[in-house]
Amino acid sequence: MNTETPLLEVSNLRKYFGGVRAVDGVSFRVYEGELIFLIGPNGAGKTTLVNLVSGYLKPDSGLIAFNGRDISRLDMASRVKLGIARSFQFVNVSWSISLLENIAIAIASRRGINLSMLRSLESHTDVIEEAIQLAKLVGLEKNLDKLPLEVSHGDRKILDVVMTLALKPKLLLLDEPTSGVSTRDKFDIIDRIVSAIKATGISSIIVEHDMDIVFSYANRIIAMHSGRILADGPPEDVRSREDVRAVLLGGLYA
Amino acid sequence: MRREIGNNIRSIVIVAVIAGLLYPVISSIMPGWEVMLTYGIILAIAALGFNLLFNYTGLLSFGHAAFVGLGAYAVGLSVKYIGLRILEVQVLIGVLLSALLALIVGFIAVRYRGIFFAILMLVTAQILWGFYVKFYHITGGTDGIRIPRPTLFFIYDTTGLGYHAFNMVYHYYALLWFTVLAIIMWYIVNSPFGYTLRVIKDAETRAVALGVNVDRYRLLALVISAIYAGIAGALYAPINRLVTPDLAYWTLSGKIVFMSILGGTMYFLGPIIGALTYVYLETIAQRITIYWYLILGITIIAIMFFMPRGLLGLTELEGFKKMARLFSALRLQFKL
Repeated sequence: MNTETPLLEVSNLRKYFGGVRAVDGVSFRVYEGELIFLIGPNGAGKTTLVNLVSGYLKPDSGLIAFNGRDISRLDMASRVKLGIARSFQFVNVSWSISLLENIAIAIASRRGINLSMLRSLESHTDVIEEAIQLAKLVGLEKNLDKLPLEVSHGDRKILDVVMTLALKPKLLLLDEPTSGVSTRDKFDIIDRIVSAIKATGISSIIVEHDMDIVFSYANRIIAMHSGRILADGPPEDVRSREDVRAVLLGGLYA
Repeated sequence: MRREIGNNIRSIVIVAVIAGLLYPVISSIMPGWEVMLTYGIILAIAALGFNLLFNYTGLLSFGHAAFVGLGAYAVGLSVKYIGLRILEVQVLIGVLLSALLALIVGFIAVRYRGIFFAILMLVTAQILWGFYVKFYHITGGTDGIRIPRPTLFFIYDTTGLGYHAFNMVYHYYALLWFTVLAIIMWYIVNSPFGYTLRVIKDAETRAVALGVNVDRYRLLALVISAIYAGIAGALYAPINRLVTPDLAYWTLSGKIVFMSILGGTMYFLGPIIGALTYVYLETIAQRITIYWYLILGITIIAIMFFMPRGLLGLTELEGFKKMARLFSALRLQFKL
Protein backbone atom coordinates (compact mmCIF):
# COMPACT_ATOMS: atom_id res chain seq x y z
CA MET A 1 0.00 0.00 0.00
CA ASN A 2 1.01 3.60 -0.63
CA THR A 3 2.71 5.55 2.17
CA GLU A 4 2.45 9.11 0.78
CA THR A 5 -0.37 11.41 1.95
CA PRO A 6 -3.46 10.46 0.01
CA LEU A 7 -5.01 13.14 -2.21
CA LEU A 8 -8.41 12.27 -0.84
CA GLU A 9 -9.17 10.40 2.32
CA VAL A 10 -12.76 9.56 3.12
CA SER A 11 -13.37 7.96 6.48
CA ASN A 12 -16.55 6.50 7.87
CA LEU A 13 -18.76 8.82 5.80
CA ARG A 14 -22.50 8.68 6.45
CA LYS A 15 -25.48 10.33 4.82
CA TYR A 16 -29.04 9.26 5.55
CA PHE A 17 -32.15 10.57 3.84
CA GLY A 18 -34.81 9.80 6.43
CA GLY A 19 -34.65 6.03 6.75
CA VAL A 20 -32.61 5.56 3.59
CA ARG A 21 -28.96 4.91 4.31
CA ALA A 22 -27.61 6.38 1.08
CA VAL A 23 -24.01 6.36 2.23
CA ASP A 24 -23.42 4.24 5.28
CA GLY A 25 -19.92 4.22 6.70
CA VAL A 26 -17.78 4.57 3.59
CA SER A 27 -13.98 4.80 3.81
CA PHE A 28 -11.41 4.89 1.02
CA ARG A 29 -8.30 6.71 -0.13
CA VAL A 30 -7.39 8.17 -3.49
CA TYR A 31 -3.80 8.74 -4.47
CA GLU A 32 -2.30 11.04 -7.07
CA GLY A 33 -2.88 9.88 -10.65
CA GLU A 34 -5.40 7.14 -9.91
CA LEU A 35 -8.27 6.43 -12.29
CA ILE A 36 -11.05 4.89 -10.26
CA PHE A 37 -14.38 3.63 -11.50
CA LEU A 38 -17.22 3.68 -9.01
CA ILE A 39 -19.80 1.01 -9.73
CA GLY A 40 -22.93 -0.35 -8.13
CA PRO A 41 -26.60 -0.93 -8.85
CA ASN A 42 -29.14 1.91 -8.84
CA GLY A 43 -29.55 3.32 -5.34
CA ALA A 44 -26.16 2.06 -4.17
CA GLY A 45 -25.17 5.58 -3.10
CA LYS A 46 -22.70 6.42 -5.87
CA THR A 47 -24.15 9.83 -6.74
CA THR A 48 -24.61 10.67 -3.06
CA LEU A 49 -20.94 9.88 -2.51
CA VAL A 50 -19.97 12.18 -5.39
CA ASN A 51 -22.27 14.85 -3.93
CA LEU A 52 -20.64 14.51 -0.52
CA VAL A 53 -17.08 14.67 -1.82
CA SER A 54 -17.83 17.62 -4.12
CA GLY A 55 -19.63 19.49 -1.35
CA TYR A 56 -23.05 19.50 -2.99
CA LEU A 57 -24.32 17.72 0.13
CA LYS A 58 -23.04 17.84 3.71
CA PRO A 59 -22.38 14.48 5.43
CA ASP A 60 -24.23 13.45 8.60
CA SER A 61 -20.96 12.17 10.02
CA GLY A 62 -17.52 11.12 8.92
CA LEU A 63 -14.52 12.92 7.56
CA ILE A 64 -13.38 14.03 4.14
CA ALA A 65 -9.75 15.09 3.96
CA PHE A 66 -8.19 16.61 0.87
CA ASN A 67 -4.40 16.80 0.80
CA GLY A 68 -4.48 16.11 4.51
CA ARG A 69 -6.89 18.95 5.27
CA ASP A 70 -10.41 18.37 6.63
CA ILE A 71 -12.88 19.74 4.09
CA SER A 72 -16.07 18.02 5.33
CA ARG A 73 -17.71 21.36 6.19
CA LEU A 74 -16.53 23.45 3.23
CA ASP A 75 -19.09 24.51 0.63
CA MET A 76 -18.88 23.49 -3.00
CA ALA A 77 -17.33 26.72 -4.30
CA SER A 78 -14.49 26.55 -1.75
CA ARG A 79 -13.80 22.93 -2.65
CA VAL A 80 -13.63 23.90 -6.32
CA LYS A 81 -10.96 26.45 -5.41
CA LEU A 82 -9.00 23.73 -3.56
CA GLY A 83 -9.14 21.55 -6.68
CA ILE A 84 -12.15 19.24 -6.49
CA ALA A 85 -14.32 19.53 -9.58
CA ARG A 86 -17.31 17.52 -10.68
CA SER A 87 -19.53 16.97 -13.67
CA PHE A 88 -23.20 16.06 -13.57
CA GLN A 89 -25.25 13.01 -14.38
CA PHE A 90 -27.56 15.19 -16.43
CA VAL A 91 -26.00 17.69 -18.79
CA ASN A 92 -25.71 20.90 -16.81
CA VAL A 93 -24.47 23.68 -19.07
CA SER A 94 -25.72 27.06 -20.25
CA TRP A 95 -28.11 26.44 -23.13
CA SER A 96 -28.09 30.00 -24.42
CA ILE A 97 -24.38 30.24 -25.18
CA SER A 98 -22.10 28.29 -27.52
CA LEU A 99 -19.92 25.34 -26.56
CA LEU A 100 -16.86 27.56 -26.84
CA GLU A 101 -18.37 30.17 -24.55
CA ASN A 102 -19.33 27.50 -22.02
CA ILE A 103 -15.76 26.21 -21.90
CA ALA A 104 -14.32 29.73 -21.89
CA ILE A 105 -16.41 30.76 -18.91
CA ALA A 106 -15.15 27.75 -16.96
CA ILE A 107 -11.58 28.81 -17.76
CA ALA A 108 -12.39 32.41 -16.83
CA SER A 109 -13.72 31.15 -13.54
CA ARG A 110 -10.50 29.25 -12.80
CA ARG A 111 -8.43 32.29 -13.70
CA GLY A 112 -10.58 34.43 -11.44
CA ILE A 113 -11.51 36.90 -14.18
CA ASN A 114 -15.25 36.36 -14.32
CA LEU A 115 -15.89 39.59 -12.51
CA SER A 116 -14.22 41.36 -15.41
CA MET A 117 -16.97 43.54 -16.88
CA LEU A 118 -15.69 46.08 -19.33
CA ARG A 119 -14.02 43.75 -21.83
CA SER A 120 -15.86 41.25 -23.97
CA LEU A 121 -15.21 37.56 -23.39
CA GLU A 122 -14.30 37.30 -27.07
CA SER A 123 -11.44 39.76 -26.61
CA HIS A 124 -9.85 37.63 -23.87
CA THR A 125 -7.93 35.78 -26.58
CA ASP A 126 -5.82 33.77 -24.13
CA VAL A 127 -8.98 32.30 -22.58
CA ILE A 128 -10.51 31.54 -25.99
CA GLU A 129 -7.24 29.97 -27.16
CA GLU A 130 -7.09 27.74 -24.09
CA ALA A 131 -10.74 26.74 -24.62
CA ILE A 132 -9.99 25.69 -28.20
CA GLN A 133 -6.94 23.69 -27.10
CA LEU A 134 -9.00 21.93 -24.46
CA ALA A 135 -11.75 21.17 -26.96
CA LYS A 136 -9.17 19.64 -29.29
CA LEU A 137 -8.03 17.36 -26.50
CA VAL A 138 -11.45 15.67 -26.50
CA GLY A 139 -12.26 16.10 -30.18
CA LEU A 140 -14.91 18.76 -29.67
CA GLU A 141 -13.31 21.40 -31.89
CA LYS A 142 -15.72 21.05 -34.82
CA ASN A 143 -18.92 22.33 -33.25
CA LEU A 144 -17.54 24.99 -30.96
CA ASP A 145 -19.74 27.80 -32.24
CA LYS A 146 -22.94 25.77 -31.93
CA LEU A 147 -25.38 25.94 -29.05
CA PRO A 148 -25.52 22.85 -26.78
CA LEU A 149 -28.93 21.90 -28.19
CA GLU A 150 -27.55 21.85 -31.72
CA VAL A 151 -24.96 19.13 -31.09
CA SER A 152 -25.31 15.43 -30.34
CA HIS A 153 -26.06 14.23 -26.83
CA GLY A 154 -22.61 12.67 -26.73
CA ASP A 155 -20.97 16.00 -27.48
CA ARG A 156 -23.06 17.60 -24.74
CA LYS A 157 -21.81 15.00 -22.27
CA ILE A 158 -18.25 15.71 -23.43
CA LEU A 159 -18.88 19.45 -23.00
CA ASP A 160 -20.01 18.82 -19.44
CA VAL A 161 -16.75 16.99 -18.73
CA VAL A 162 -14.59 19.58 -20.51
CA MET A 163 -16.08 22.37 -18.39
CA THR A 164 -14.93 20.40 -15.37
CA LEU A 165 -11.47 19.74 -16.86
CA ALA A 166 -11.18 23.46 -17.61
CA LEU A 167 -10.97 24.08 -13.88
CA LYS A 168 -7.68 22.10 -13.86
CA PRO A 169 -8.71 20.21 -10.74
CA LYS A 170 -6.51 17.89 -8.72
CA LEU A 171 -9.43 15.53 -8.27
CA LEU A 172 -12.08 15.01 -10.92
CA LEU A 173 -15.46 13.48 -10.10
CA LEU A 174 -17.49 12.41 -13.13
CA ASP A 175 -21.03 11.28 -12.44
CA GLU A 176 -22.02 8.93 -15.27
CA PRO A 177 -20.34 10.69 -18.19
CA THR A 178 -22.00 8.26 -20.61
CA SER A 179 -25.55 8.29 -19.23
CA GLY A 180 -28.13 8.62 -21.98
CA VAL A 181 -25.57 7.95 -24.71
CA SER A 182 -26.38 5.11 -27.10
CA THR A 183 -24.42 1.89 -26.60
CA ARG A 184 -22.82 2.40 -29.99
CA ASP A 185 -21.33 5.78 -29.01
CA LYS A 186 -20.50 5.00 -25.40
CA PHE A 187 -17.02 3.66 -26.06
CA ASP A 188 -16.13 6.60 -28.25
CA ILE A 189 -17.24 9.07 -25.57
CA ILE A 190 -15.48 7.37 -22.67
CA ASP A 191 -12.39 6.89 -24.82
CA ARG A 192 -12.15 10.62 -25.49
CA ILE A 193 -12.74 11.41 -21.82
CA VAL A 194 -10.25 8.88 -20.47
CA SER A 195 -7.53 9.87 -22.91
CA ALA A 196 -8.01 13.52 -21.91
CA ILE A 197 -7.77 12.54 -18.25
CA LYS A 198 -4.64 10.53 -18.91
CA ALA A 199 -3.12 13.39 -20.92
CA THR A 200 -3.66 15.76 -18.02
CA GLY A 201 -2.81 13.23 -15.30
CA ILE A 202 -5.71 14.24 -13.07
CA SER A 203 -6.84 11.77 -10.39
CA SER A 204 -10.39 10.81 -11.23
CA ILE A 205 -13.38 8.98 -9.88
CA ILE A 206 -15.86 8.02 -12.59
CA VAL A 207 -19.33 6.67 -11.87
CA GLU A 208 -20.21 4.20 -14.60
CA HIS A 209 -22.85 1.53 -15.21
CA ASP A 210 -21.45 -0.15 -18.29
CA MET A 211 -19.27 -3.06 -17.09
CA ASP A 212 -17.56 -3.43 -20.47
CA ILE A 213 -16.33 0.12 -20.16
CA VAL A 214 -15.36 -0.27 -16.53
CA PHE A 215 -13.27 -3.38 -17.08
CA SER A 216 -11.58 -1.94 -20.16
CA TYR A 217 -10.44 1.32 -18.58
CA ALA A 218 -10.19 1.02 -14.81
CA ASN A 219 -6.98 0.74 -12.80
CA ARG A 220 -9.07 0.41 -9.70
CA ILE A 221 -12.73 -0.28 -9.06
CA ILE A 222 -14.82 0.62 -6.05
CA ALA A 223 -18.06 -1.37 -5.97
CA MET A 224 -20.88 -0.04 -3.80
CA HIS A 225 -24.06 -1.68 -2.63
CA SER A 226 -26.69 -0.30 -0.23
CA GLY A 227 -24.50 2.59 0.85
CA ARG A 228 -21.47 0.48 1.66
CA ILE A 229 -18.30 -0.41 -0.17
CA LEU A 230 -18.52 -4.02 -1.26
CA ALA A 231 -15.16 -4.30 -2.94
CA ASP A 232 -12.25 -1.99 -3.66
CA GLY A 233 -9.28 -3.01 -5.74
CA PRO A 234 -7.84 -3.81 -9.18
CA PRO A 235 -10.41 -4.91 -11.83
CA GLU A 236 -9.39 -8.58 -11.79
CA ASP A 237 -9.80 -8.81 -8.00
CA VAL A 238 -13.17 -7.11 -8.01
CA ARG A 239 -14.36 -9.21 -10.91
CA SER A 240 -13.53 -12.47 -9.17
CA ARG A 241 -15.43 -11.59 -6.00
CA GLU A 242 -18.57 -13.71 -5.60
CA ASP A 243 -20.62 -11.01 -3.81
CA VAL A 244 -19.85 -8.41 -6.50
CA ARG A 245 -20.84 -10.86 -9.19
CA ALA A 246 -24.09 -11.53 -7.41
CA VAL A 247 -25.01 -7.86 -6.99
CA LEU A 248 -23.68 -6.45 -10.21
CA LEU A 249 -22.35 -8.75 -12.83
CA GLY A 250 -24.59 -11.73 -12.47
CA GLY A 251 -27.58 -9.73 -11.41
CA LEU A 252 -28.58 -6.53 -13.14
CA TYR A 253 -25.68 -6.50 -15.58
CA ALA A 254 -25.57 -10.02 -16.82
CA MET B 1 -22.59 36.95 -29.65
CA ARG B 2 -23.19 35.00 -32.82
CA ARG B 3 -26.49 35.04 -34.63
CA GLU B 4 -28.35 37.59 -32.54
CA ILE B 5 -29.27 40.64 -34.59
CA GLY B 6 -27.73 43.92 -33.57
CA ASN B 7 -25.71 42.66 -30.64
CA ASN B 8 -22.84 45.00 -31.36
CA ILE B 9 -21.75 48.56 -30.64
CA ARG B 10 -22.32 49.62 -34.23
CA SER B 11 -26.03 48.85 -33.89
CA ILE B 12 -26.26 50.89 -30.69
CA VAL B 13 -24.70 53.84 -32.48
CA ILE B 14 -27.05 53.36 -35.46
CA VAL B 15 -30.09 53.40 -33.15
CA ALA B 16 -28.77 56.53 -31.43
CA VAL B 17 -28.13 58.29 -34.75
CA ILE B 18 -31.62 57.39 -36.00
CA ALA B 19 -33.17 58.63 -32.74
CA GLY B 20 -31.18 61.83 -33.21
CA LEU B 21 -32.16 62.34 -36.85
CA LEU B 22 -35.82 61.44 -36.32
CA TYR B 23 -36.35 64.18 -33.74
CA PRO B 24 -36.41 67.19 -36.11
CA VAL B 25 -38.28 65.11 -38.71
CA ILE B 26 -41.08 64.15 -36.32
CA SER B 27 -41.28 67.62 -34.81
CA SER B 28 -41.77 69.12 -38.26
CA ILE B 29 -44.29 66.65 -39.66
CA MET B 30 -46.09 65.66 -36.44
CA PRO B 31 -45.44 68.44 -33.91
CA GLY B 32 -45.82 67.29 -30.33
CA TRP B 33 -44.92 63.68 -31.07
CA GLU B 34 -41.18 64.26 -30.93
CA VAL B 35 -41.00 64.45 -27.15
CA MET B 36 -42.08 60.80 -26.91
CA LEU B 37 -38.78 59.95 -28.56
CA THR B 38 -36.99 61.51 -25.59
CA TYR B 39 -39.16 59.59 -23.14
CA GLY B 40 -38.47 56.42 -25.12
CA ILE B 41 -34.71 56.93 -25.02
CA ILE B 42 -34.82 57.53 -21.25
CA LEU B 43 -37.06 54.55 -20.54
CA ALA B 44 -34.81 52.42 -22.75
CA ILE B 45 -32.05 52.99 -20.17
CA ALA B 46 -34.31 51.56 -17.44
CA ALA B 47 -35.36 48.65 -19.68
CA LEU B 48 -31.69 47.86 -20.42
CA GLY B 49 -31.17 47.61 -16.67
CA PHE B 50 -34.26 45.45 -16.28
CA ASN B 51 -33.11 43.08 -19.00
CA LEU B 52 -29.67 42.59 -17.43
CA LEU B 53 -31.58 40.94 -14.61
CA PHE B 54 -34.29 39.27 -16.68
CA ASN B 55 -32.60 37.89 -19.77
CA TYR B 56 -29.05 37.51 -18.55
CA THR B 57 -29.43 36.65 -14.85
CA GLY B 58 -32.85 34.99 -14.91
CA LEU B 59 -34.43 37.28 -12.31
CA LEU B 60 -37.79 38.91 -13.03
CA SER B 61 -38.07 42.23 -11.24
CA PHE B 62 -41.58 43.54 -10.87
CA GLY B 63 -40.40 46.59 -9.00
CA HIS B 64 -37.96 48.49 -11.14
CA ALA B 65 -40.10 51.59 -10.64
CA ALA B 66 -38.56 51.67 -7.13
CA PHE B 67 -35.26 52.71 -8.67
CA VAL B 68 -36.78 54.93 -11.35
CA GLY B 69 -38.74 56.71 -8.62
CA LEU B 70 -35.68 57.05 -6.42
CA GLY B 71 -33.69 58.60 -9.28
CA ALA B 72 -36.53 61.04 -10.03
CA TYR B 73 -37.03 62.00 -6.38
CA ALA B 74 -33.27 62.46 -6.00
CA VAL B 75 -33.65 65.24 -8.57
CA GLY B 76 -36.91 66.51 -7.08
CA LEU B 77 -35.86 66.59 -3.44
CA SER B 78 -32.37 67.95 -4.15
CA VAL B 79 -33.83 70.87 -6.07
CA LYS B 80 -36.59 71.44 -3.53
CA TYR B 81 -34.44 71.41 -0.41
CA ILE B 82 -30.94 72.46 -1.43
CA GLY B 83 -31.66 74.17 -4.72
CA LEU B 84 -29.36 71.82 -6.60
CA ARG B 85 -29.87 72.08 -10.34
CA ILE B 86 -26.69 70.60 -11.78
CA LEU B 87 -28.22 67.52 -13.36
CA GLU B 88 -25.07 65.38 -13.42
CA VAL B 89 -24.71 65.78 -9.64
CA GLN B 90 -28.39 64.95 -9.20
CA VAL B 91 -27.98 61.87 -11.38
CA LEU B 92 -25.04 60.85 -9.19
CA ILE B 93 -27.21 61.17 -6.06
CA GLY B 94 -29.86 59.04 -7.78
CA VAL B 95 -27.23 56.46 -8.68
CA LEU B 96 -25.95 56.27 -5.11
CA LEU B 97 -29.45 55.97 -3.63
CA SER B 98 -30.49 53.31 -6.17
CA ALA B 99 -27.34 51.31 -5.57
CA LEU B 100 -27.84 51.57 -1.81
CA LEU B 101 -31.47 50.45 -2.04
CA ALA B 102 -30.45 47.57 -4.35
CA LEU B 103 -27.81 46.47 -1.84
CA ILE B 104 -30.27 46.53 1.06
CA VAL B 105 -33.14 44.81 -0.76
CA GLY B 106 -30.82 42.56 -2.70
CA PHE B 107 -29.15 41.27 0.44
CA ILE B 108 -32.40 39.41 1.09
CA ALA B 109 -33.96 39.23 -2.38
CA VAL B 110 -31.14 37.50 -4.27
CA ARG B 111 -31.59 34.42 -2.10
CA TYR B 112 -35.01 33.99 -3.70
CA ARG B 113 -35.94 32.99 -7.23
CA GLY B 114 -38.89 33.36 -9.56
CA ILE B 115 -42.08 34.78 -8.16
CA PHE B 116 -40.62 35.42 -4.69
CA PHE B 117 -37.95 37.69 -6.09
CA ALA B 118 -40.51 39.44 -8.30
CA ILE B 119 -42.84 40.05 -5.36
CA LEU B 120 -40.06 41.28 -3.05
CA MET B 121 -39.13 43.86 -5.66
CA LEU B 122 -42.77 44.83 -6.16
CA VAL B 123 -43.23 45.30 -2.42
CA THR B 124 -40.11 47.48 -2.26
CA ALA B 125 -41.47 49.77 -4.97
CA GLN B 126 -44.92 49.94 -3.35
CA ILE B 127 -43.43 50.89 0.04
CA LEU B 128 -41.54 53.76 -1.58
CA TRP B 129 -44.68 54.77 -3.48
CA GLY B 130 -46.58 54.85 -0.20
CA PHE B 131 -43.86 57.03 1.27
CA TYR B 132 -44.02 59.53 -1.59
CA VAL B 133 -47.83 59.72 -1.34
CA LYS B 134 -48.19 59.86 2.44
CA PHE B 135 -45.25 62.02 3.47
CA TYR B 136 -46.90 65.00 1.87
CA HIS B 137 -44.91 67.63 3.76
CA ILE B 138 -41.65 66.22 2.42
CA THR B 139 -42.55 64.93 -1.03
CA GLY B 140 -45.55 67.02 -1.95
CA GLY B 141 -47.70 63.88 -2.07
CA THR B 142 -49.59 63.25 -5.28
CA ASP B 143 -49.05 66.89 -6.32
CA GLY B 144 -45.41 65.96 -6.70
CA ILE B 145 -42.45 68.27 -7.02
CA ARG B 146 -42.08 70.75 -9.85
CA ILE B 147 -38.70 70.49 -11.56
CA PRO B 148 -37.16 73.74 -12.84
CA ARG B 149 -34.86 73.74 -15.85
CA PRO B 150 -31.59 72.00 -15.03
CA THR B 151 -28.02 73.08 -15.58
CA LEU B 152 -26.30 70.66 -17.95
CA PHE B 153 -22.60 69.79 -17.95
CA PHE B 154 -22.14 72.01 -14.84
CA ILE B 155 -22.15 75.21 -16.92
CA TYR B 156 -25.01 75.19 -19.40
CA ASP B 157 -28.05 76.75 -17.72
CA THR B 158 -31.17 75.87 -19.74
CA THR B 159 -33.47 78.29 -17.89
CA GLY B 160 -33.61 80.81 -20.72
CA LEU B 161 -34.53 78.31 -23.41
CA GLY B 162 -38.01 78.24 -24.92
CA TYR B 163 -40.23 75.16 -24.67
CA HIS B 164 -39.21 73.58 -27.98
CA ALA B 165 -35.56 74.61 -27.73
CA PHE B 166 -35.24 73.01 -24.31
CA ASN B 167 -36.95 69.81 -25.45
CA MET B 168 -34.58 69.56 -28.36
CA VAL B 169 -31.45 70.26 -26.32
CA TYR B 170 -32.62 67.80 -23.72
CA HIS B 171 -33.31 65.13 -26.31
CA TYR B 172 -29.71 65.15 -27.47
CA TYR B 173 -28.49 65.35 -23.88
CA ALA B 174 -30.51 62.25 -22.98
CA LEU B 175 -29.36 60.57 -26.16
CA LEU B 176 -25.76 61.06 -25.08
CA TRP B 177 -26.47 59.34 -21.75
CA PHE B 178 -28.31 56.59 -23.55
CA THR B 179 -25.50 55.92 -26.00
CA VAL B 180 -22.80 55.80 -23.35
CA LEU B 181 -24.89 53.62 -21.00
CA ALA B 182 -25.99 51.24 -23.77
CA ILE B 183 -22.37 50.75 -24.86
CA ILE B 184 -21.31 50.08 -21.26
CA MET B 185 -24.20 47.61 -20.91
CA TRP B 186 -23.09 45.91 -24.12
CA TYR B 187 -19.66 45.37 -22.61
CA ILE B 188 -21.20 44.11 -19.38
CA VAL B 189 -23.43 41.48 -21.01
CA ASN B 190 -20.69 40.30 -23.35
CA SER B 191 -17.93 40.25 -20.72
CA PRO B 192 -16.88 37.23 -18.67
CA PHE B 193 -19.20 38.65 -15.98
CA GLY B 194 -22.16 38.69 -18.38
CA TYR B 195 -21.48 35.12 -19.48
CA THR B 196 -21.16 34.02 -15.86
CA LEU B 197 -24.64 35.48 -15.31
CA ARG B 198 -25.95 33.40 -18.23
CA VAL B 199 -24.52 30.24 -16.67
CA ILE B 200 -26.20 31.18 -13.39
CA LYS B 201 -29.49 31.65 -15.24
CA ASP B 202 -29.36 28.44 -17.27
CA ALA B 203 -27.57 26.09 -14.88
CA GLU B 204 -27.19 27.42 -11.37
CA THR B 205 -25.59 24.27 -9.94
CA ARG B 206 -23.05 24.35 -12.75
CA ALA B 207 -22.15 27.91 -11.82
CA VAL B 208 -21.63 26.77 -8.22
CA ALA B 209 -19.57 23.82 -9.52
CA LEU B 210 -17.37 26.34 -11.34
CA GLY B 211 -16.66 28.00 -8.01
CA VAL B 212 -18.97 30.97 -8.59
CA ASN B 213 -20.56 32.63 -5.58
CA VAL B 214 -24.00 32.82 -7.19
CA ASP B 215 -25.67 35.19 -4.72
CA ARG B 216 -22.85 37.69 -4.96
CA TYR B 217 -23.16 37.79 -8.77
CA ARG B 218 -26.92 38.17 -8.53
CA LEU B 219 -26.50 41.05 -6.10
CA LEU B 220 -24.00 42.77 -8.36
CA ALA B 221 -26.33 42.36 -11.35
CA LEU B 222 -29.17 43.84 -9.30
CA VAL B 223 -27.06 46.84 -8.28
CA ILE B 224 -26.02 47.56 -11.88
CA SER B 225 -29.61 47.11 -13.01
CA ALA B 226 -30.82 49.49 -10.28
CA ILE B 227 -28.24 52.10 -11.24
CA TYR B 228 -29.55 52.07 -14.83
CA ALA B 229 -33.13 52.48 -13.64
CA GLY B 230 -32.03 55.22 -11.22
CA ILE B 231 -30.29 57.18 -13.98
CA ALA B 232 -33.40 56.81 -16.16
CA GLY B 233 -35.51 58.20 -13.30
CA ALA B 234 -33.21 61.18 -12.80
CA LEU B 235 -33.19 61.98 -16.52
CA TYR B 236 -36.97 61.58 -16.66
CA ALA B 237 -37.60 64.36 -14.14
CA PRO B 238 -36.53 67.47 -16.12
CA ILE B 239 -38.33 66.47 -19.35
CA ASN B 240 -41.47 65.56 -17.41
CA ARG B 241 -41.09 68.83 -15.45
CA LEU B 242 -42.79 67.14 -12.52
CA VAL B 243 -41.91 64.27 -10.21
CA THR B 244 -44.91 62.37 -8.87
CA PRO B 245 -45.39 59.10 -6.97
CA ASP B 246 -46.54 57.53 -10.29
CA LEU B 247 -42.87 57.07 -11.07
CA ALA B 248 -42.62 54.50 -8.27
CA TYR B 249 -46.00 52.90 -8.89
CA TRP B 250 -46.33 49.27 -9.98
CA THR B 251 -47.78 50.25 -13.35
CA LEU B 252 -44.43 51.76 -14.30
CA SER B 253 -42.68 48.55 -13.22
CA GLY B 254 -45.16 46.72 -15.45
CA LYS B 255 -44.46 49.08 -18.35
CA ILE B 256 -40.73 48.33 -18.11
CA VAL B 257 -41.50 44.61 -18.30
CA PHE B 258 -43.90 45.28 -21.19
CA MET B 259 -41.31 47.27 -23.16
CA SER B 260 -38.70 44.56 -22.81
CA ILE B 261 -41.09 41.83 -23.94
CA LEU B 262 -42.39 44.00 -26.77
CA GLY B 263 -38.89 44.49 -28.18
CA GLY B 264 -37.74 40.97 -27.39
CA THR B 265 -35.94 40.18 -24.14
CA MET B 266 -33.70 37.65 -25.89
CA TYR B 267 -32.00 40.42 -27.82
CA PHE B 268 -29.62 43.04 -26.54
CA LEU B 269 -31.46 45.69 -28.57
CA GLY B 270 -34.86 44.32 -27.53
CA PRO B 271 -35.53 46.60 -24.56
CA ILE B 272 -34.33 49.62 -26.56
CA ILE B 273 -36.58 48.96 -29.55
CA GLY B 274 -39.34 47.99 -27.11
CA ALA B 275 -39.12 51.24 -25.13
CA LEU B 276 -39.13 53.40 -28.27
CA THR B 277 -42.11 51.51 -29.69
CA TYR B 278 -43.97 51.45 -26.40
CA VAL B 279 -44.08 55.21 -25.85
CA TYR B 280 -45.72 55.68 -29.24
CA LEU B 281 -48.03 52.71 -28.77
CA GLU B 282 -49.19 54.14 -25.45
CA THR B 283 -49.71 57.62 -26.89
CA ILE B 284 -51.68 56.29 -29.84
CA ALA B 285 -53.78 54.07 -27.56
CA GLN B 286 -54.49 57.04 -25.29
CA ARG B 287 -55.63 59.15 -28.24
CA ILE B 288 -57.96 56.42 -29.48
CA THR B 289 -59.81 55.64 -26.27
CA ILE B 290 -59.91 56.24 -22.53
CA TYR B 291 -59.79 52.46 -22.22
CA TRP B 292 -56.24 52.51 -23.53
CA TYR B 293 -55.04 49.96 -20.99
CA LEU B 294 -57.30 47.50 -22.80
CA ILE B 295 -55.43 48.10 -26.05
CA LEU B 296 -52.09 47.60 -24.31
CA GLY B 297 -53.39 44.45 -22.64
CA ILE B 298 -54.58 42.96 -25.91
CA THR B 299 -51.26 43.91 -27.50
CA ILE B 300 -49.23 42.08 -24.86
CA ILE B 301 -51.45 39.00 -25.11
CA ALA B 302 -51.04 39.03 -28.89
CA ILE B 303 -47.27 39.31 -28.51
CA MET B 304 -47.14 36.41 -26.08
CA PHE B 305 -49.14 34.22 -28.44
CA PHE B 306 -47.95 35.20 -31.88
CA MET B 307 -44.46 36.59 -31.41
CA PRO B 308 -43.01 35.53 -28.07
CA ARG B 309 -39.61 36.75 -29.22
CA GLY B 310 -40.95 40.28 -29.58
CA LEU B 311 -40.46 42.73 -32.43
CA LEU B 312 -36.86 41.73 -33.00
CA GLY B 313 -38.01 38.12 -33.26
CA LEU B 314 -39.48 39.15 -36.62
CA THR B 315 -35.95 39.46 -37.97
CA GLU B 316 -35.66 35.70 -37.76
CA LEU B 317 -38.49 35.19 -40.24
CA GLU B 318 -37.49 33.93 -43.67
CA GLY B 319 -38.97 36.98 -45.42
CA PHE B 320 -36.86 39.36 -43.38
CA LYS B 321 -33.74 37.31 -44.01
CA LYS B 322 -34.43 37.40 -47.76
CA MET B 323 -34.80 41.17 -47.61
CA ALA B 324 -31.58 41.46 -45.64
CA ARG B 325 -29.78 39.36 -48.26
CA LEU B 326 -31.22 41.49 -51.05
CA PHE B 327 -30.16 44.62 -49.21
CA SER B 328 -26.59 43.45 -48.80
CA ALA B 329 -26.49 42.31 -52.43
CA LEU B 330 -27.61 45.79 -53.51
CA ARG B 331 -25.04 47.32 -51.21
CA LEU B 332 -22.31 45.26 -52.86
CA GLN B 333 -23.64 46.07 -56.33
CA PHE B 334 -23.50 49.80 -55.73
CA LYS B 335 -20.37 49.62 -53.57
CA LEU B 336 -22.02 51.45 -50.69
